[in-house]
Amino acid sequence: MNTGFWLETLNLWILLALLVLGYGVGRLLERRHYQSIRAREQALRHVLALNTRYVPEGVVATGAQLVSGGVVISSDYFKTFVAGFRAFFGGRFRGYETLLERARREALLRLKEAAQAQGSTLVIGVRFESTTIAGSSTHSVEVLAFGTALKTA
Amino acid sequence: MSEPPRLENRLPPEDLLERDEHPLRELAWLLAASLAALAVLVLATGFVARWLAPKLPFEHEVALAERLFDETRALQKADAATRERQAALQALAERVAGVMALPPGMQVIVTDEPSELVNAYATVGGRIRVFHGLLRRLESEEALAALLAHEIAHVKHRHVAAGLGHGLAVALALSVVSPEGGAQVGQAVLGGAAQIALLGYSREAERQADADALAASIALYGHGGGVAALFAALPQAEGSSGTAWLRSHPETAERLALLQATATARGARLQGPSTLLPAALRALPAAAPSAR
Amino acid sequence: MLVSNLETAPGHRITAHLGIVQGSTVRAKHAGKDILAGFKNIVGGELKAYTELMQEARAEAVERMTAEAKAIGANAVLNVRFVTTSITAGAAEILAYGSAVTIEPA
Repeated sequence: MNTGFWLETLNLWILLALLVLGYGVGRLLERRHYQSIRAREQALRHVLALNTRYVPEGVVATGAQLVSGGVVISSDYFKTFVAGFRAFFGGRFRGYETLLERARREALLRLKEAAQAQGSTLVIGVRFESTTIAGSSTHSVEVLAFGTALKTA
Repeated sequence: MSEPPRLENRLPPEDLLERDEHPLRELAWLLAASLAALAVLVLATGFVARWLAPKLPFEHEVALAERLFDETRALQKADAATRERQAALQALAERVAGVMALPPGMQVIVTDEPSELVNAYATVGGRIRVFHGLLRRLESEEALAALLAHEIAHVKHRHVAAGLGHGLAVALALSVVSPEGGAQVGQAVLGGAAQIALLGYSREAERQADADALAASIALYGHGGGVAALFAALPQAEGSSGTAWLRSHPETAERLALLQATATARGARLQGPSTLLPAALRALPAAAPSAR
Repeated sequence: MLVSNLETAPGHRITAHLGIVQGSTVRAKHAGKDILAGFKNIVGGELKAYTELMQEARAEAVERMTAEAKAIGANAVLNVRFVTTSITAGAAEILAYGSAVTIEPA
């Protein structure tokens, strides 16, 4: 196998390297992110988030403030590669589902952190918005969670 | 007054979203399915192209050949001996074509190639090439006529067009997946030596060409000795290298047996007097020492 | 399980708010249906394949949301809302989220 062979199949090797990198490092980062999310969810259990429109019965609210938490997470090379095939055959994109779930939970956590920073432990009227960021070849998604943080007496 | 609702923060369990399928397994399954789909696509386009290409008029093949091969330049560069050889080959080819009932407007142009490969092939536009390696092994005019009749039969039945169409269709199908891969295959199909590799003839095509060669031999010389000599002159594919003509064609024993049966059915013999090759074709230039 | 986009459950009383629950799914139709939809773009009209896609996705998202609600002990989901994002061409993510509550007849 002379240098000619390696040069001609270079595209293939680059693809393979990116896939391995995307899969290996991507899976690692995802697992670490999930661990961080779980830890913070436990830590922030005392901050409640509800998507009710009105102040719940029995709660006396003295102040209200709009808070939000947002995050942009990008898909890795491996997920995008698999998604290409999946788009042809149809069905569920498992890789993207975990991506979006991570983004949502992260956004909600950041919302709660923002509320806590203000000294509030109750957020009502929570809404989610999500968008895709166009431009690069791999897809990234932005999730925004916003709501009203109440100052309870 | 009933008490107000409790406000709690319960976290759902982690394993609700069934992430049971391992991403690598999913990828493997998707790749396998894609390859299968691609294989079906390539086979289907190949099949259609093989059926469709021979319907293209022969004049178009000739136009393609004129564009692909720089024949006028080669003719100018040729020395006297080369021109004599080509004239002798062309004269014999036209005699053979005369008894083969070619469709109107179809002509063959035969040239020799100074390579020691033991091979001959037909390509687009009725062009036939015979390598010196094979020419050296043919000892009679009847054998050469049989070879020419075989290749002319491929031209007559548009096997060349079918093979080329198949190759190009595969290139087109592949370019759906990978534009550069498809372009490479397309270039290979239309390019030089790869023509031989990709013009894969089917068994029926070969059998048809053999039958036509036998019929032409009988028509020209009254016996099928040329065809028998052609096969006998070439050692079996399995033992020696360089008999590329045999290797690109199906089982020799099978073909010989079929030949025998056809000859008997026609009441013809496979032996007969042999004529010497024209002088120009007997005096081939010595093989270059480096050439294999 | 009661699923509603109302603030309250008519005829019931909310006894506890248990938190926000979500369900989502990302789906695509196979290439054949995409090609047919492409042709439909020429004459216009309803793209039945994609309507089906969105319906299936929504149904699955709501089902996952109610599964999460059930897992935390709720018996109703109120204030349900939907969010749609299109990730790649021909694929869509549907998110359904709401408040998981326990209710009892008033």
